[in-house]
Amino acid sequence: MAHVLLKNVYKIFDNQVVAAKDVTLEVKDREFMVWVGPSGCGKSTILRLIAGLESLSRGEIYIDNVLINHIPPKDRDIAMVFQNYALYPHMTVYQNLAFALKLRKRSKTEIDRRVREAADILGIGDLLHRKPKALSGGERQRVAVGRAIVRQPKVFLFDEPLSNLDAKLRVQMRAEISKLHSRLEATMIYVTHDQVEAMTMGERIAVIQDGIVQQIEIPLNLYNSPANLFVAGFIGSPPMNVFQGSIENNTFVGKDIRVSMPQTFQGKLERTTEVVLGIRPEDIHDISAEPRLSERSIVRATAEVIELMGNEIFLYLRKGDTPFMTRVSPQTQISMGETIDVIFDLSKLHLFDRETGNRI
Amino acid sequence: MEQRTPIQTEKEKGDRAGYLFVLPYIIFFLVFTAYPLIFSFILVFHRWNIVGPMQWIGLGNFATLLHDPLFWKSLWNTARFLIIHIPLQIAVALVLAEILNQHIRFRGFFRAAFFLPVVISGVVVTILWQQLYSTDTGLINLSLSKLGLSRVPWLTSTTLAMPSIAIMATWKNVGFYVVLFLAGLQSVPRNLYEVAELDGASKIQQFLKITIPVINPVVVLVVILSTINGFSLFIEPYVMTSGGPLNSTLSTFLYIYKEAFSFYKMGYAASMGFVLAAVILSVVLVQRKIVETDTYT
Amino acid sequence: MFKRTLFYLALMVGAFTFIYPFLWMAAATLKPEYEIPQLSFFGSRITAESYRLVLEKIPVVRAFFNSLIVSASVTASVLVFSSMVGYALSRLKFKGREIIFTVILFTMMIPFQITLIPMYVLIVKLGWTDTYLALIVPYMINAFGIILFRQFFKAIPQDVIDAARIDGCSELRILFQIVWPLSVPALVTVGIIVFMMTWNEVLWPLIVIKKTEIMTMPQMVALFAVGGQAENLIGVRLAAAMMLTIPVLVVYIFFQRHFIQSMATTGLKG
Repeated sequence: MAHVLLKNVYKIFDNQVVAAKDVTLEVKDREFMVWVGPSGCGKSTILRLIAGLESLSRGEIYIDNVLINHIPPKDRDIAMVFQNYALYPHMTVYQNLAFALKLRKRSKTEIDRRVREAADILGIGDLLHRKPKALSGGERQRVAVGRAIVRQPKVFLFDEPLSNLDAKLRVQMRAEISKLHSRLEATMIYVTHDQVEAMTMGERIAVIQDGIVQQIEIPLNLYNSPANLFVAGFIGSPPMNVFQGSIENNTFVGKDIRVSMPQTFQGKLERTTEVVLGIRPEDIHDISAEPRLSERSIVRATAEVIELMGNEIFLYLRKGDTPFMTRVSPQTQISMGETIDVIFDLSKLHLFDRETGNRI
Repeated sequence: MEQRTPIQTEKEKGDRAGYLFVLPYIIFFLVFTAYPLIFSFILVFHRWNIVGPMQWIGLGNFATLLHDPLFWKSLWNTARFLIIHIPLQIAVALVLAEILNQHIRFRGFFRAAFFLPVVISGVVVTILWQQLYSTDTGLINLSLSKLGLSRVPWLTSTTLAMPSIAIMATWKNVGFYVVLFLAGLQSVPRNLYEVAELDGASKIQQFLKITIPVINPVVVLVVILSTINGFSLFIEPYVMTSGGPLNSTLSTFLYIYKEAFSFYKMGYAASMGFVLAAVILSVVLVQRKIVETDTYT
Repeated sequence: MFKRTLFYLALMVGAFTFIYPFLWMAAATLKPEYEIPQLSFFGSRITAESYRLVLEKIPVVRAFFNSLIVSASVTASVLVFSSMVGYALSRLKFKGREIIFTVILFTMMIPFQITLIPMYVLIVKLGWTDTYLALIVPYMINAFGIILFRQFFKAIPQDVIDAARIDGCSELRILFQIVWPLSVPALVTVGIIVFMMTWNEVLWPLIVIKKTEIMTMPQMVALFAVGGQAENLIGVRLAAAMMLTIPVLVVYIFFQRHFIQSMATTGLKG
């Protein structure tokens, strides 16, 4: 199938907005890669660069080692699924699916076969003679995906395809698109602002912010070792707790919190002293749960807000002026205003350079 | 590290489609707008009968024009037309629109009826009204004499002919302005009237103090449109009176037409066209100054 | 209640004023000539004599087809070319786009009294007098159409156009196969106004056409009424006027809502 390569790609709009800044990344053959970032970060623009809907300001884009900078969208052998479905309102579902093939002058029988195949895969066989107006949101999205499948393109581009669907449908379609990927074994690039979508669907994830690729990793590594503060804060929900402070004698000293640094960090801390300490909510434990941890640090804090989620409790704590939160088991006995001792799992600490935001 | 690849090719491609799409317009513009515009500017300094060579006379055409009583008469005729036509049209259109704006059954029918003369060719309307206005055989005078009144020389009197044409033009166009006013009236917020009602304003006061100021932009539009249309008054006197009697319905534009296409005085006609355009422009500017208020903008 | 009655009364009088003259005209064309200057609506008998005389004196059927050819060509051309420019101005990026738009706005403000005579000279120089070209070509693109299309096309979702580009459409195909079907109201508005303006245009044909075979219908009827051909017969002139009325009237009766809306939204009179 196909492999996509972006080399030092820049996109600067006429109004000087930078949507892509020195983007270099590779999407492997048959890979399902998710690009995630907050809205306006440039991810959709970079996708549109691959599609050929926007022109590059600088750099090179290759599909299967062919430079496609100057090739018009229709000859790039890509298909795109849009957020707003972008179905042709005046055509039936069948005509929508067949349109691209018709333009490529395929035979009637081939078109019919491929349309029906795609319709079967997506379970929209009985909608073929309806107009988009008569379809539900989910059905429209299926047709939009179908329009891409029919083309049998080298690369599928998804531009936030699920954000207009309601939560339940979104979960269902998420699974379907993943299934589709394993069935079609095609190269797919999927853009979303939803980090849950990214984590659940992506084989690899690229986190993008301000037109710059922050980190490319498999989901687990992204979660466990975020490359910088932005990634740390963006991936994971509820987000990672961060504390400003400095390192003194292998100890993190924040305004209200002191944590001695575990062995793993020693030797890395000579150069920087101004740091940001990060720890995920699930790595802070209730002391009464008696977690068995090799390296730990106890912090006494006051419970400010208690959110019962059913399977767990989100506990918003405060020590001095420093707020942080933790996820604890629903058995935890605590009420508002009480103090509680919690344990920081020191093996799960993240440390970032305060100036650059990069991981230490 | 930065690699500077030659770029922009795709953009040029987008450019190309854009230029291709506007190319017909550019050619059209050059041939049918720019060229005539420039040529008319040259023409006004020449005497030319279209067949022979052009003869440079400097500002001669404008000098002739200054001393051409017929030109001034035609301007005055056009002015007389506008003075009757515009206020009459606005008054009738406003009243009809205001009534239509009430909760009226068959509104669509009435609107369509008022609008009917707008879509019918001016030629038809003129032939029809020429008949209605006819002194001896016209429907209007027949009705008047049946009622025991004396006949009116609608088109044969030098004082009445132009007003008659103005009334006819109002009849033809008023439906269009009814529709414009109706759209304006429907945009007046209901609660303004409710407040006024509570303050004890009468219907007439409400109309003058609320409706008129709010629809002021429509009034401006109507005044300007009917002025511009009024200055191109042509087919009505052309068919009805040929400018008579005694040139009392000779509109400026009809005069220009005759000078250009009956006597082939191209340079002179073009000069009059220029002056007429300048007159239109200044009249419209003055009207805007007077009519336009900024109460609710 | 009294007020409502008054309103309806006023409306009835209004409607009567605008419709009755046309009815009277229709009736008059079917009366014998000598009965027309009488107050009674119907004549003693119905006769097509006036119409027979019109058909005998002027080739009005030919003129009807001339008008149809000219109006249809102009309308089709305006729809195609104005929408192309409107599409480029709203959906394609190219240098000079804003300048062209400004120029178009500017051209709308030029009074035709200035350009009329040089336009005639141009037609003479091109050798187009007494041809359809003189009637069609100078009206093939129109600024108001461009601006209306530009406005309308701006509201079409970008995604649909992008999808079409990826599916393999050229820009021309996008315009005609994707954008046009989504812009029916704009096409109808421009179509109606341009068709009506062209159909009713009489000044320009009077200037550039002298040959009877090329004359448009309003021009022919106007010349017929002005010239001596009607021999002062009222019925014949009215019959000619009636024949000019009927095509527009028929279309108006079916599409009056569109007519009114088109002209109200654009502020343009035919």
